[in-house]
Amino acid sequence: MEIVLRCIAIYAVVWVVFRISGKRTLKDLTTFDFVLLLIISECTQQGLVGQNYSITGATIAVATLVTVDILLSLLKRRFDKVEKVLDNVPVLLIERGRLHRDRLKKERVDEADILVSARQMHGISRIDAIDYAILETSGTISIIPKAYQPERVESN
Amino acid sequence: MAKLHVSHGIQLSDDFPFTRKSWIVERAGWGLLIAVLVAALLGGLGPGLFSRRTTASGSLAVEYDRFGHFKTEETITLRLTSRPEDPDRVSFWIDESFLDGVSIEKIRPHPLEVRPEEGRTTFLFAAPPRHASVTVRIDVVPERPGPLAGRFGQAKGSLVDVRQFIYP
Repeated sequence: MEIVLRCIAIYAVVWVVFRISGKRTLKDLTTFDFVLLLIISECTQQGLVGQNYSITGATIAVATLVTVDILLSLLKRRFDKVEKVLDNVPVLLIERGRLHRDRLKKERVDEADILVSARQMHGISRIDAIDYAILETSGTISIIPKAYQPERVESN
Repeated sequence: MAKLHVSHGIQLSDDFPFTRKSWIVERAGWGLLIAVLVAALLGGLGPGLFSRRTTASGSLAVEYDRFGHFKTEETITLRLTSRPEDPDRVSFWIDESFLDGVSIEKIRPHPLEVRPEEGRTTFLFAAPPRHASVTVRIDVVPERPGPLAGRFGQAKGSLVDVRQFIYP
């Protein structure tokens, strides 16, 4: 029972920390970020199973973490609000060519980050060639170039 | 799955009022993280700058951390003075309510004798020659989270109450 409770508590703590750290944290996984993730996983390991080195303990821990994840995914499918709270929502950074500087600042994104995505995905080298830039919940930036005009639908 | 709606000319599940609230919560969260770090450094979440407390009564002084961690070893330091009628030996006892909440890992120096008594356990040590006091370090591991209280004492004399909070 203790391992189950420990796993639920650690799952919640890790979720809270990464949720408040923002979408872009650890997004560009540099070598340092990768090492940082390994250190974080090492820190949580003791909290998950304590001094229990048994296979049974490890099995309970893995089962608990995966079950919590499945239950939350079911809740997210059922309740839109839960998905928003758990996963956040995408944010429009460039809208019809207009840059939302306030949103960039709040999300700790700069024009260079948008241009990186634009270059990598579409070979675009200028901000004014972008129609839409969207900061996705995963932390990636999606780009819709001006050359490609999506089938615009009137707002309902 | 979030409902898609037409927003600003494209199909997107964004929600700017929610995003605004998220930013506020994120900033509050950063404050919380800093508060956790400061509290940890100062000793509010375990051993730290101001976490040690010394409680003394007569010939017995007990030094311990106000806050401990569940199943994590900590050291309690006792300073004892021998009584004039028995200058070669010092002793102290710990009551059961404290011993029930911890497991004793190590006692330095080794006691000459450990004597279970009703409601408490007494530990006897040899006092060094020409010195009337001795320092005893006890490494304990808290066995349950929450408040941990107990009493340390010496026969016919000093009583010291020890109160800790053990974080899970």
